Amino acid sequence: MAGPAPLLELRDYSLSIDSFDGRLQVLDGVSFSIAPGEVVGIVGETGCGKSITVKSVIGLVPSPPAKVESGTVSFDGRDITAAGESAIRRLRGREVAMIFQDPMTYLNPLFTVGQQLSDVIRAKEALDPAAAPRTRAERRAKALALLGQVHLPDPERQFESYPHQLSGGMRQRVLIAMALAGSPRLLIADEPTTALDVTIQAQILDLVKELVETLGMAVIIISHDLGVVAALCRRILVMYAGTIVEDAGTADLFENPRHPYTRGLLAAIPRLDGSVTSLSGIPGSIPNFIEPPQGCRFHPRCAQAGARCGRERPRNLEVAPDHWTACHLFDGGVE
Amino acid sequence: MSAPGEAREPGEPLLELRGLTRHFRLKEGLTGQRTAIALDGIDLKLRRGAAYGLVGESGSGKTTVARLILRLLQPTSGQILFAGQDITGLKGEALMKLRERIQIVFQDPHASLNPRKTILFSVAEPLVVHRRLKGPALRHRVEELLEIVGLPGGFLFRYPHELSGGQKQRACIARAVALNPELLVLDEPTSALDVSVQAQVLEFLHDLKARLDLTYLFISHDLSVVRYLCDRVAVMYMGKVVEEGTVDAVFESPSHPYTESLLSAVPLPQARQPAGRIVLSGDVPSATAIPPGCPFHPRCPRKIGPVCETAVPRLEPRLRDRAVACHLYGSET
Repeated sequence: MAGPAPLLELRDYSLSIDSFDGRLQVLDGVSFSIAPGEVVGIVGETGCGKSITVKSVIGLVPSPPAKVESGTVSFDGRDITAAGESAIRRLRGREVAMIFQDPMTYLNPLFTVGQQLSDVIRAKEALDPAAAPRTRAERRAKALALLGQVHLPDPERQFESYPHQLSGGMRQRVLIAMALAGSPRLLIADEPTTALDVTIQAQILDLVKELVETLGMAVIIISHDLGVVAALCRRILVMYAGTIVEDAGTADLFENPRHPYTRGLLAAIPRLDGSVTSLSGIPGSIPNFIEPPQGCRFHPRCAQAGARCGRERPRNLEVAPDHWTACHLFDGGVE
Repeated sequence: MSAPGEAREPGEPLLELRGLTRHFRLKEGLTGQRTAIALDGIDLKLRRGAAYGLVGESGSGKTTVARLILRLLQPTSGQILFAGQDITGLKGEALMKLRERIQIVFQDPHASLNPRKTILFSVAEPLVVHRRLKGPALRHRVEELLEIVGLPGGFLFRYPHELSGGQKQRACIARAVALNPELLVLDEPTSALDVSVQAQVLEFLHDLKARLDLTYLFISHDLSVVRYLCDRVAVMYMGKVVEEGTVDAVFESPSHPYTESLLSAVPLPQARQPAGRIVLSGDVPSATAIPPGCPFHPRCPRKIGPVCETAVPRLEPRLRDRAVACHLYGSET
């Protein structure tokens, strides 16, 4: 799908998680790749598997209860599907960084921003045997430089602040500064602006855009808000119930959505310009993951489903250049 | 549904807020106190049958307005008039009667339903408290209400955890309309829902309003949702209304610089983002330290001068279809 030598590649990745009620088939045959420097969005509704996909890739989903059922994950050409804890730690520390929805949850309320950022810088140093350990003053300088890079106002003062003294937008900037400390090649942002007000969201989106341009890192933005991914990403993956149903360039996805789920999702969004006067929801609700629907996982809610949809799992097909979708409608019909 | 003993002149607003103000006293340290100004003298009029949107960011005072109207909070000063009657100081029996006519739906349907009670119990509660219904009459009315909100009879004996988010919100709406209220306050009713479910609930709210002859006060931070559902809108910033008017006017040609930047900040789900997006700098100030003059002046991209820092702009009518509180238009009024 992408150009040569992807940075991150998932092939037919399936994941199950044991729960009290039974084994949840959380991800089913997820395949995608991210090129170096590419900005990709993953969208979908609650429970579609967008967060668990990236979290399991970087070893943030404990196993057990999670289990990789099939498929491979490779980062920069190395197979990391079965990588041990220390290898994954090295990957997380130096090559992949992640930021989350609620920055307060990821900051320790009892330590200052400066202490926490310095700790992160020291931990990243420890993972890089080539780097000479820094002195405390050097770490402080590095931390202040990072805070400057994320445009935190008055970094000298905020260095001494506790997280509760910062606003939500400032906390998210601190979290981004921590993520940048190891100069990652891939930044994963899981709903980075969902907890923020719209004017603050605009500031953070601008910052991410600027960092992508200056640092050239690849970014995965996970969001339920199609506006957020449209504003940042070149390419968008649409997920439904643990499968990727559509993968297309941003403009192409909005102008020519193919998969019935993507079309349903777009028809459900009220528009700021008032151009939509009647909304159609998608009937039904997300399926049970213990016994997910056979065939296409969307077929029980799909208005266009036929007999084949309940029988046969749709293949992922390229329906237009760099526009992929998994639906029988584009692969010989639904009957 | 008819309001007992009330004249229904079309010109008379159903709800009117006059200089409504609410301060909160906050403790600081052991003995210190600060005052947070959550709401600072707002005036609003809701026509009967309107779908009135109240938008603004966190801390702008929108939820305080809802709680004051419901008389869940006492205003520091100002008046609330409902159908011409001053309800600011109502107590006891009269307040109980008022609550039959104004009801509220909250953001999180899960937190608003008792997890240990069936849907029948939760929806029946207002009917038991206010109408003393019981037995088959009560059950019949609850079935009727659930039918209206699109939850068939099978839901009567289910518990909240057996319902999806959208179904729970429908149950909350059924409970809110159980007493045939005239005004329904909807405080971010779809913010906790996924977009495909939100679409169903919004469509349903749209139909319900006509069907039950309701007036909506719809509070939301989501501008697109307000555009879809409402006909008038008030934009709030730091406890004040900065712009008020018809939804089409305010959204298509915003007058206040805050409205303009708020609308421009929304990322759009479409192939290309419009050029010239305004990104405000800085954060929303604290309600305990509201800037003097126009509260928006420290972030305003169109500040005109010292007047913005010293004089509080009044909400003045502008053009035909709106009112704006901004010194930019000072000379025109």
